[in-house]
Amino acid sequence: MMPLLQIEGLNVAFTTEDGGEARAVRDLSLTMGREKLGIVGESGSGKSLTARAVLGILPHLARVSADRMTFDGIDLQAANRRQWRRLRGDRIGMILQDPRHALNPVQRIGDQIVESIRLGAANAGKRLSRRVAWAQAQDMLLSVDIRDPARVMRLYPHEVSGGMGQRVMIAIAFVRQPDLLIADEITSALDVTIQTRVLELLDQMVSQRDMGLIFISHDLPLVARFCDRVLVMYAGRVVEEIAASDLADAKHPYTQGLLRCMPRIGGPQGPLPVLERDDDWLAGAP
Amino acid sequence: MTETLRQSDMQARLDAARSFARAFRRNPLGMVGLTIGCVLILVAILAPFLATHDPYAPDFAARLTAPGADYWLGTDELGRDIYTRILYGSRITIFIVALVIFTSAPIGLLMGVVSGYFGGWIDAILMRITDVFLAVPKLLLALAFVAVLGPGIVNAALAITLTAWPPYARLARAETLTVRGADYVAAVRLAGASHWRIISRHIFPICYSSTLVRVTFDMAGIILIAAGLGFIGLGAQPPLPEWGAMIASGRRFIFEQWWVAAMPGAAIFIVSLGFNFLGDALRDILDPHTGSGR
Repeated sequence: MMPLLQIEGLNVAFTTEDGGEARAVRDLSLTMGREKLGIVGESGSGKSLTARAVLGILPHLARVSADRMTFDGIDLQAANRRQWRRLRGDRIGMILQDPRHALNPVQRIGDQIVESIRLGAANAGKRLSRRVAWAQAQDMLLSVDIRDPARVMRLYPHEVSGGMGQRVMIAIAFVRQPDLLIADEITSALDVTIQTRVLELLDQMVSQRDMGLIFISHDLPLVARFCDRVLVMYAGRVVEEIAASDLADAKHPYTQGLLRCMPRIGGPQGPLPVLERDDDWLAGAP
Repeated sequence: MTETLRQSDMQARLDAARSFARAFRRNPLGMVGLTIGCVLILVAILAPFLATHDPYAPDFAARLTAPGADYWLGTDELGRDIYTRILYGSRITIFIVALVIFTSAPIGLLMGVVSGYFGGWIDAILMRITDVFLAVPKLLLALAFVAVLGPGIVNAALAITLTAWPPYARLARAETLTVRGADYVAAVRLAGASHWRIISRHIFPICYSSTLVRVTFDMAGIILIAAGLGFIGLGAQPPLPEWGAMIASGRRFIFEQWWVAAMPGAAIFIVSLGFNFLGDALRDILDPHTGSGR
């Protein structure tokens, strides 16, 4: 079976002020099917840039190169603007981190979901009336556990809680039924109970619809619980690729270090170990 | 939760309008400005009913009559009632202001938003064009333009438009730059929206409130420039009762028959003052940075 997403040798670099080059993603390769793939790493390790490179929305200053970058057989590097518009949203969806910033503050929630639905319909060459789209949006909100969709649709983003906003964003991504969904730190703005609920929901919807999911997070245990496979990134490089269930037996010292510096209930009460970085990791050696 | 559920869009909008009105009412100068603006519009609509004489018909027996029972604000050198002419002049003023606003604001907004959104060389080119227009004194540019096109109300309005759009472009560009990198813009782009759609649906609305404030402030300036053009004979042509032109015709009698120039002057003064008050009040309410009212 052809892999859903295949990336080989992806590099993202920025020019620094003194004319040098800051390499944010180095020689990254990944292959995934319709599975739940977690990408973890500290901030600045290139997780989000990788995701944005897949969707082609990197900032202008970034220089991207890859030996190969295909999605479902489509060469992403050769895609033109029209093809991109069809890919984004319809085939590859993305949920952003913070609902407070990722929803248009001056548009009602309902209008934003409806816009997503109608964009999808327009791409498929259909015209969908506002009324029909509005009804679909309501159903979608119901399925992300919003009990009173008719009311929520009329609210502005600042009038809903963070958890509800996040569910709205999930709804916006899911109405288009993408084949691949990228969730970029979607739970870090939420408190722990809501976090669990949102993840359950995401899990359920992804499995129901047989989608691929790239779940980006800096929370290793969370990713381990939630995903099938985990990529650990350090300084723009994948240092370890491991099945989530085997995470406890991680071989790379960085992964082990990350795991060790998490506090545990019932663990020792002394200071937690600090992550020791090794310059050799930059070269890709374990 | 005691908040009543909003039954309909209508109700939600009514609520918003009501809270806006409440904030507005707390601002007495704003109310004065609003009243002046409303009176101006009413006067323009009802001019034929409020007028006591014909605005155009000369009456040489009543030349340069002082204000009194018959001619409330006196008459000009052709014996026309100044009160009546001011009433009719409000129509010309509103026409010019509306024409300028409805052309310059959209042009400026579009330039600014496109420039801010795309950035790069598009930004550089559009903003340098804007700079050129900003560098030339407003009245001078308008003068030159009218001189080329020939005098007249519409030409005067177009000339003012030419000088009035650059500030809108600057404003819209600044607003666009603050939201261009926002997550929600990235999010709609990720949903497969085209550039045009993002600009029109998601960036334009952000600029509305600051534009509205700017428009209200601008009205005063536009009225003054229009009157200035009328004064030097490049705006509305006689016998149209344009306020600036009326002042010009009264200039010769300013020491003996002061009312000929003073009355339209007062009209210009009151109306621009009113729009300035209105603009101030709107800014206080709509601009989150000033922080008053919350």
